[in-house]
Amino acid sequence: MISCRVCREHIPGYISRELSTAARSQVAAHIQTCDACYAVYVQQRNLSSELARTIPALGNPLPRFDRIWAGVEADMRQPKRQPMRLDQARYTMIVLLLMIALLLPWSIRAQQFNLPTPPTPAALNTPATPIAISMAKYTLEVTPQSNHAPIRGATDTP
Amino acid sequence: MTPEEIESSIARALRGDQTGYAALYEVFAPGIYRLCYSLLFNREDAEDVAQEAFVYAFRNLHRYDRKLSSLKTWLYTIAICRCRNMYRKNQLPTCDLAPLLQIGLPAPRSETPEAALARQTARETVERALASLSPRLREAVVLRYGHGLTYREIADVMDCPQKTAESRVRLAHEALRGSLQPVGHGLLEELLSF
Repeated sequence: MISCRVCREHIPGYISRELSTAARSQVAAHIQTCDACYAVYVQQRNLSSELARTIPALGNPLPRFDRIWAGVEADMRQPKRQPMRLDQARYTMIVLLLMIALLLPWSIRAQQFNLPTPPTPAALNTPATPIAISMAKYTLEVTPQSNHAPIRGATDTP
Repeated sequence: MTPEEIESSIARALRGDQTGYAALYEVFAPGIYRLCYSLLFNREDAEDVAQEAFVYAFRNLHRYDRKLSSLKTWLYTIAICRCRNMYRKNQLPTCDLAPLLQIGLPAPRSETPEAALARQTARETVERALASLSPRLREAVVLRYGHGLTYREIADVMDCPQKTAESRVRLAHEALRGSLQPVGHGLLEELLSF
């Protein structure tokens, strides 16, 4: 005796008479004794016959098939597009990558901006003579002090 | 059309005879269109996908191997692949302009407004129930009940083991049982038989 689970799996095949003789007799025997499986069988049988009637009616009214045929004929007359073969696609990809690799540095160089260089101070352009160096040192040493004006009378001795 | 006639049409098409293609189209176009519509729920999309599927199939007819599957199964496989592409495309955000432009679906002239409404409601119920399923379950149940394919054929079309096809149909069945029950048994058939 088969289980309820196996019986229910076989019910669609039982309804459509697609089971082997042995399986069919097993399902029939189970349905005879099991009320729950019999109820499932009745439900599925009713639904199957209902679906077999209703689904084929979907799509009514049918379209004008001569119009679709005209489209089929028109498409058939057009030349068939050849799909690109794998090796062709591979070679095309390699050539493209090579071109990008060659052209990218060139295009980057071509796009470089020529920014104007800031004007160099005239003092820095003078040749570094010993006098100029000593003057520069003096300026660096004196300039911080020159920011602080001496307080009148602080250094004056009476 | 008998299998021999289908074979003869395939042979004629492969020789470049246009009548071979036309004969095959005439036999399979309604089924392919219904399959596409049952999966996409949009007439324009279904027509486009059916057209694409036939163009692809006819261009690649020399690849069809009758030892591997029937022509019907082969065509359904192509149509399902195209429908899956359409699901992916439809996942992109779109806006329905019909309510803004106040475009309504015209009812047949002989229909009363009440009957048209009832028919529309019934169709929407079935479509909503199918749309609530995952794409794989929907494909399985549509192939099973809409086109009467066997589990072996469903497995071939969906490119999965037969057991998987069986379990997908069973799961779809269980999901649909709940969503279609409120409409009532037999009512859908009556309403959709217009």
